[in-house]
Amino acid sequence: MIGPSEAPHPGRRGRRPAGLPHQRAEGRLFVLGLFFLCAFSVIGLRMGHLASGDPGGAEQARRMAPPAVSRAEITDRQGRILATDIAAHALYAEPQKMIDPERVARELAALLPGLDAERLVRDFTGPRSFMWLRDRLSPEQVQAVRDIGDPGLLFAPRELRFYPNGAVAAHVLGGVRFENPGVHSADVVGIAGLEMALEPRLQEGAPLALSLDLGVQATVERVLAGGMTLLGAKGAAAVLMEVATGEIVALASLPDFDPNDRPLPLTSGDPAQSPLFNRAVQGVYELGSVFKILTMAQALELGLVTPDTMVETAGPLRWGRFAIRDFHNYGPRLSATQVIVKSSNIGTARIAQQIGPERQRAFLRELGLLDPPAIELVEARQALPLAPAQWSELSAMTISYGHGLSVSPVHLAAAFATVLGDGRLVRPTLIHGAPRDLTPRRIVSPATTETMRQMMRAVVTEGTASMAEVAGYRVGGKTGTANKPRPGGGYFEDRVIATFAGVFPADAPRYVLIVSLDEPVETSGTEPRRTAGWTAVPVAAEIIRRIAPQMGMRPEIEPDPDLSLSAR
Amino acid sequence: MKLLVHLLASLGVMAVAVWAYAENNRTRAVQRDLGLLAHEIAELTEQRMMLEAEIAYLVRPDRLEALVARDVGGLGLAPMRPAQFARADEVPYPLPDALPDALPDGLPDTLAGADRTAAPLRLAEGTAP
Repeated sequence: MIGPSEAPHPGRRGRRPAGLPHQRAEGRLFVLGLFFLCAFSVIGLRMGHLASGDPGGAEQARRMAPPAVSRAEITDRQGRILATDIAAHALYAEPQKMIDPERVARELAALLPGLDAERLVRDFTGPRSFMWLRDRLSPEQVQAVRDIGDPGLLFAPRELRFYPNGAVAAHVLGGVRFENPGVHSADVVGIAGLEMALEPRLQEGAPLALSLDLGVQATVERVLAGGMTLLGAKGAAAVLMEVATGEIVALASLPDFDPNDRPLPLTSGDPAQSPLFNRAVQGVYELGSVFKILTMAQALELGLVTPDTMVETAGPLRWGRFAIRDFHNYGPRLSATQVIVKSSNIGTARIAQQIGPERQRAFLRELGLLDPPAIELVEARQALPLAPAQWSELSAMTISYGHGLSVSPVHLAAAFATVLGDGRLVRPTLIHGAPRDLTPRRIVSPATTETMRQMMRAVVTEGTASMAEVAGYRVGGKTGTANKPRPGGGYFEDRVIATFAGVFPADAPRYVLIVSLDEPVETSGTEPRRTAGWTAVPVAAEIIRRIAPQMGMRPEIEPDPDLSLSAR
Repeated sequence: MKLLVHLLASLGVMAVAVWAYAENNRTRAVQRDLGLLAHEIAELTEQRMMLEAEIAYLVRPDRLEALVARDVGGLGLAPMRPAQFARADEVPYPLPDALPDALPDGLPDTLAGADRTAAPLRLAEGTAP
């Protein structure tokens, strides 16, 4: 027990032994202090967190915002809309929620064509709990379905791809379809043309400007359709390309289709007869005499001929059991320029003999005529030119005037832009301002391009393309009439592909125009005429007459080459 | 002294905490507004795209051509032709009596010149180079 001598220290409570209680009290105080420290730390930390924590505003705003319209708008070179997304609705039913399935079925069938009332009643009263009715509805239809007013009819939002210009540029744009349909959204996926070839780019969402010009494209299509009807042709294609950049200003293929309501692919027969077939890119044809320009350009480049070199044209030119003939007999020899102007097969074949098959093949490969065109269309990947497996001397001779090698009009446009522009390789493109190779490979010298321009101008002023003359635009060009190959071998006598490959203005080319008609016949004369000079050329001239002013080109008086001589 | 410092520090902490709390609340409010704005922007964008699509549909080449063919309002529209380009010297001068007798006094020369060019353009209709 505690005696008086061991009286407790003032402030100390209890009557316990001195050593032990003191320690215990300190221990308690320490624990208590620790507890308070922890509690205040937690409060302090929480306060600090509240005061300084990142509100994550931007992140949250992004989460809360509904996804903006996703797929990129496609415009022409002037920003006019070619394809855009609009909000639309798909219709689905949840029959278990329906109040009056029979009335709904009856009214829906009356409202939406293609739905059968009896079948709908069966579906609505059966065990199904969910069914799609329509993958897109017009705003009027949406309102009409709302007016039915049944809770079992529901709408799913959709981004509908809309092509406001209808069939204009249909083959370039291609088309889309819905994939993975859900009640909140569906994926829009390209299934043809540019929409498919540039799928990743379009998914990014930034608008895409094409090199096409909507007005020019529409004019080209209209004139081409008129010519096709007038000449009874089965189909037609046209390509208008900027020489300097390779940008395609208009690309038309007829017959065409409306990408808003894309027809189904043919299940039988020749897919080339479907309106979906792009004759300007997918269609590879033997294009005939337009190839003489390429043969002549190579011969000039190799120094084998000059414009005045005389070439043997006595015919027929026999090679084995094969004979090469001219449309008319042009006498024993012609100058190289006249070979082009008169379009002599024999003269061109003789020049090709000098070039030889290896060099010819290498030149055509350099021009890109032996590979699919590098254009931004999914169809182009399959447009492999048809070339002979054995590139014999005979092949070289026939290919020199456009038989035995099948290419597409886009191929030809790029090759012409190369040999008539500044002689450097031109790559076709559909994207406006696309990044280009700044120093493309040189294919022919400037001197060769200058000579080729003069020769092509002479074809129009004095040769087979006289109807291509459009006052003030100095059109140069070359015609090509090729008999169509028979499926079983050989050629049809009365079915041709008539092509005009032109350039304007010829002294400083800005545009290359290819016009190709499938089986045209001109019947104003006493007998039917099928040559390009009577069919493709007038159509091309009308196209130039209409589009050149549209593109702001003013007609100019032709510089007279003789005038400079008299100036001395 | 020590007590005063403690008191001031505590008050400071409290004031800062109140400020931080208010700031936090404001941030939340702004976030909410931002979300609403984003919604509104998305809605307006959708509407704008719909209107643009409508405009594009209304001025599609096929429709314009049909309207021109029907010659709405007798405008006499026709496709552009090379003949519609002309050089300035191919534009004929107006006939003397087509000019006003005297130019109004006090007009600056440039304005008078503009007046003069307006007349020949009307006279030049139908001329071709």
